[in-house]
Amino acid sequence: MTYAIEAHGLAKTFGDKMAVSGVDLKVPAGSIYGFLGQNGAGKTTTLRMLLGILTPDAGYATILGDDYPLTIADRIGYLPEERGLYPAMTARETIAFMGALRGLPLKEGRARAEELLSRHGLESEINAKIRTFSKGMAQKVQLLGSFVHEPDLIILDEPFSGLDPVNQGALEAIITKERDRGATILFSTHIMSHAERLCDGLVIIAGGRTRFTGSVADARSVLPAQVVVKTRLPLDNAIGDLPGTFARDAAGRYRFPLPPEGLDATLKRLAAANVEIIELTTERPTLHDAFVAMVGDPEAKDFNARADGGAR
Amino acid sequence: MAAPSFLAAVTTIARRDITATVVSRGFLIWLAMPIIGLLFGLGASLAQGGGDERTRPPSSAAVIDTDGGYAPWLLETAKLSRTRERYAQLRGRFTRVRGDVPLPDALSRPARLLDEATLQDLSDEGRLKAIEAEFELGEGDVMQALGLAPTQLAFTQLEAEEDPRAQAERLLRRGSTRFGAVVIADEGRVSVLRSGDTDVERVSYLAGRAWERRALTEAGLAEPLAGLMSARPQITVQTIEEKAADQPAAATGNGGPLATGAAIVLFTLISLLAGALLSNMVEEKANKVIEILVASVPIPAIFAGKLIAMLFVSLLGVTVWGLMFGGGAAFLLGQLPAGILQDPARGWPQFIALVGAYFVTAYLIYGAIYLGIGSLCTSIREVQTLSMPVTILQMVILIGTLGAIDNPAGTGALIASWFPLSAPYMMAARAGLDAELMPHLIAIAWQLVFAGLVILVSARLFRYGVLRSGPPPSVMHLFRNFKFRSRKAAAEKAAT
Repeated sequence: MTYAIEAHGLAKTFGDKMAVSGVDLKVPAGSIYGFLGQNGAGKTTTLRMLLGILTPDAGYATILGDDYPLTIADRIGYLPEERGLYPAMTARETIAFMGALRGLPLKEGRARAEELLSRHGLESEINAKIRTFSKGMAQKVQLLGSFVHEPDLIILDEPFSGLDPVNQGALEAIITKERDRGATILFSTHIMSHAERLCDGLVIIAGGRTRFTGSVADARSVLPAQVVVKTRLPLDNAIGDLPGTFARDAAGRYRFPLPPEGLDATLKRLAAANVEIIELTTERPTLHDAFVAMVGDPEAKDFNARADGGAR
Repeated sequence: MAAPSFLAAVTTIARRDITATVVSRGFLIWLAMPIIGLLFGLGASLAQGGGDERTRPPSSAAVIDTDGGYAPWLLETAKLSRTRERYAQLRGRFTRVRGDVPLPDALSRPARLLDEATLQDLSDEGRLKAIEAEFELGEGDVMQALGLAPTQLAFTQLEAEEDPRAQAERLLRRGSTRFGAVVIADEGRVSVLRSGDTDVERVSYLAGRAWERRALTEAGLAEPLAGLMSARPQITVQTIEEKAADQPAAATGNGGPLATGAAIVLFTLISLLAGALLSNMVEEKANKVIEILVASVPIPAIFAGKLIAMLFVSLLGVTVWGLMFGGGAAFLLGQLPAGILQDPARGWPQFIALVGAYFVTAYLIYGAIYLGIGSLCTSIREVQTLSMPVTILQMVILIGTLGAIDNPAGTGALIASWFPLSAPYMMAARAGLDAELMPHLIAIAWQLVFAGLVILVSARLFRYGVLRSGPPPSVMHLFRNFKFRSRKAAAEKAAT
């Protein structure tokens, strides 16, 4: 398998603070990869090290087979977490300028900018200045600028943050289209649903280290399926016989991990307890559950439990 | 498509910065600064002038003559006096504008030695204008245009009333500025009344001179006296020019203004640009574009692009200013009395070229320092704090350089000529004084080498500080974290 990004043991310290202490990363070429982690986990620092913006204190990284990203700047596109555009520049000039920074001739960049802006619903804003744009529009312009030169690898740092649902959907479509063109995409995000829908693979980091690498399905299978049962009588008598965490949500449903002996055996045990089952289903854990479990933050787990109680 | 070359990256950054700066309102204001300054100066001058109205010599005075025999003499004397002043101005202008040509016969006599017959002849307006046109002395005089020339005094004869003194007092007390003084000729006596603290020295002189002329004529002595005056010998003046190559201008004490002016102009321009560079960098960090730049092109290319852009913008500004005010400045310099501003030792073109070269080296050295500082700051306040020591250092260096200019052969001048931070100012000052070109070529080469070193160090500083978002680091912190190794070397070290 060919990898667009390979990194091993990346570490970076700022003053006395260890930002990243050992990140391993392998992103297959032509895939969409999600880079997940809590706030302050070191995602942005890692991406900056991959791009050569920061020099790692330890470890190494290669991008598209090269260990010096600036020599292949024309093959890389980057959307930083902190969006930045020149307010006095027009949308077309902004995109053309970003292309020029990556080696695309200005004239060609302008033509492509017009085409991209028209294709993404900004045809009437081609010559409008960035200062007149809404946050979403400006973000879209910056995103278009990050791949106007048709790079082989696109790195997006929190691309969905600050976008409304409509624009989030549009961004998902753009990312998919770029992958279909043949580009590799690595993006960091906090929004699990995007990762779940888009990603061929995931890297989850916590505490400055890689905690998981693999497919979305692999990530979800880290946790067992959940049994959700609603009974007419209290289930308390059967608690002692059921494994794992046991919880009851606001709708009165009981929720616990599927025991290793399987669903049939569990059902028999509940029936034997005479609790009068009204409904019983199993749920596969979401990426959100898996992420929270892997990241292991107690507060996040509590939040997860509360969210489960209300939303599911 | 390939990754942009270093030069292409520099061009892209520079082009963006140039476009953004030149089409901004700020640049137009920057360009208009000299005009605004001039307007303020003019306004202040007018306000000052208005306030001093009563202290200036009167441009108009009245004469009240009870017997009618004196006033025509005074009017005639004033007219001749005006002619003499006008002649003196033309003669002075000829010396300034065409100092290399001996004075023509028409202007050969000093104004004070002109006799009445000649003055009568010249008082015909056409005669003076003919001289002005013949010798291409231009229309008007800059001192006149700026209101710095002495005012031409004119008299108005008024019919005498019963009480001339009361009449004069009434005229002066009216609050009218029509007359600054009144001359009363009554019963063989001449008296001058003035309003407030008006200086009537000239009025009194003309009044006395008119009386004297009338007395000489009535005594039949005027014609013999005129004959004697016209028999004065022709006085010729010859100036032996010292060759610039024989003796430095500074040694004669005449190179000072030129040298000092060059150093101060350079310092002013660099200070203006430093502020613009710093603001540019802070703005770049504030609008977060810097990360896109750093991820796309090498940091030295960003650094060089920004320096070149600001240099281009400043040269554009200087050119525009030159086009707007160059002619006026040259004209004003031309109006200075000979000897105040001596020509540069190697001529004006080479002097301007050398000052231009030192401007570039000074800009590169100080610009790189300021840009490095700007990359460490996140706000204008931080910029002010961090750039203060450099600004003070620059001021100290300028003051030291100005002190050394007075003695170009001294040790201070020698040190200032080669110490890289003062060298651009000192050598710019010396550009007007030195007859030799070689020291300047060596100095420019040395300054460029030093500028390269400063750019390298500042680019490292830039790399360290450009993505910082917290408060500026301490000097000790900078020393501890300042690494002179490439990313490749760092990666190899990290990998091992």
